[in-house]
Amino acid sequence: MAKRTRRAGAAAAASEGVNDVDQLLLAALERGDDSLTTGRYLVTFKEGAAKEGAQALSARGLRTADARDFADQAITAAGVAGADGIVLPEIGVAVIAAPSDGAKAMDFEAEATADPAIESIDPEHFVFIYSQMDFLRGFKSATDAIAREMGGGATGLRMPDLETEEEVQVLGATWGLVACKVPSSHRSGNGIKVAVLDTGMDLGHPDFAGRPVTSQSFVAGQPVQDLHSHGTHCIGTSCGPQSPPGTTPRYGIAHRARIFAGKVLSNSGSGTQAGILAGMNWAIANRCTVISMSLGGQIPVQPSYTAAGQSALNNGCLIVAAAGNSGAATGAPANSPTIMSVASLDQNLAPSSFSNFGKIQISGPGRDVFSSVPRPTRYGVKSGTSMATPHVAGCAALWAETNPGLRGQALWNKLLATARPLPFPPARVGRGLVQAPQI
Amino acid sequence: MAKKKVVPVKRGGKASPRKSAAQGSWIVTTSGNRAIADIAKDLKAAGVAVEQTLHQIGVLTVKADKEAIGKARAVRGVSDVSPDHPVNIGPPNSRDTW
Repeated sequence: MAKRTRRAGAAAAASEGVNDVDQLLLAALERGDDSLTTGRYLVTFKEGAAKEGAQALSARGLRTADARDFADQAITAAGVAGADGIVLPEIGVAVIAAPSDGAKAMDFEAEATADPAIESIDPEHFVFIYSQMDFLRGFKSATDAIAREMGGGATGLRMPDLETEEEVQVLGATWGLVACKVPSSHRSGNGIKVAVLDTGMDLGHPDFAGRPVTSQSFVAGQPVQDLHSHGTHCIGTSCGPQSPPGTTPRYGIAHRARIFAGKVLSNSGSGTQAGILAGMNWAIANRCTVISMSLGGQIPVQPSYTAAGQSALNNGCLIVAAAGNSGAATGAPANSPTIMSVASLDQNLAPSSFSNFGKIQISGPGRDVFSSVPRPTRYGVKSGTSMATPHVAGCAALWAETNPGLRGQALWNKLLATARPLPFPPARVGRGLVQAPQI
Repeated sequence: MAKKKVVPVKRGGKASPRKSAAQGSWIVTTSGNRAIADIAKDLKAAGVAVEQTLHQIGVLTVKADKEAIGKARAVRGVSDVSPDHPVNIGPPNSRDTW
């Protein structure tokens, strides 16, 4: 299935009794609340009253599956298809789908709570493995940077070559944006189409409210909505807002670029070359000036990727791709001669230990990069050449805005000509650190 | 025993089960000097199932068994035939990525 509308996803989630987590999460995002509730209820039975409690649910017309009907009580999604809920007798709890009608849901809640066999009825919440530590670490990194710029004596490396005027301007931006001289650039990527081929995008992320987004899924059965986080993070760096809300530091570069979010990787992070090529074809057909690909594999040069890169250049598009994080030779598609390969730098502007090498054109900030991730977490820190690549894509969009002649190969040449040289071999950092235009 | 091996043949049909089981996903890149629609036609005639024709980049994604893919390599205008390599950037919400 090429594309599924968000409304259809929510409706499907509401109508199916017991849903898979992806669908529940999509439905919650559709509702637009940050309550972290799944829309299902946890019914806790009174001690020793599991049997009576299950009967009480049944008396209210709910069809429930019992965990004891499964081998070793290992419940499978397929096994409970069509049921309204699951009874877990070992712990005296049932998980049930709430009636989709709000008034009926309240009636049900009131009636069930009054039942002598039921102890309580509570909304079920999502569980995320994503650590808040990542957010806190990113926040600390940002505040440390601000403290350093203000001469507060915080420990850590001082950003090189920052002049006083710039120091004032960069307050509240990520280290990567500062290193690329983004905060002092007057450009916004206005009128430039930037495609990010990845795991999709959180289309309801508040930092992108009001932004025009064209999206398309090339993953069978999955809508564009990003349940992985990688795609939303990359789009955040390349195209995130100039002024995120509250104390969140600026993390996005081409804040007025038109976003093309192509989902070529699934919510588990996997994809086929066929799907990726279909995404490249779509982005070029839409004449996206910049096409950012933070993906790849440790395989030799693929003629199909080379052909796609050539088609891009012929049509005024530029594909930038992540070299890879294996500490080995550049992977595909970045190893194709028609695709710009991006290496990762640490905050001290040395190549990251993981960054692939060999066929490298340019470098970007890739270690401990703070950017957007899907709701409800909203922000997170990631590392990799995947994070360096959208820094190059965002700066490419800013350069493209300066001159309509800077397209395809001309844009490629401009990025390399304006990169900041670094004291490392070209096989590690290419022509150096990508820089935003100051014109 | 030998007689039993003959049994599946009775099912008949256009493609034998053995043949379809050996089908793999392939990426066909064209040279650009022949219409991609004509190349697709020749591929189909060679027993290749064309799944996507990506006009903009001159690439076709196909499914075929080894015998058909051997013929596909000889189709005029085909510059390369390679297996479809899966890509994986790692699990959701991980700090380290591709």
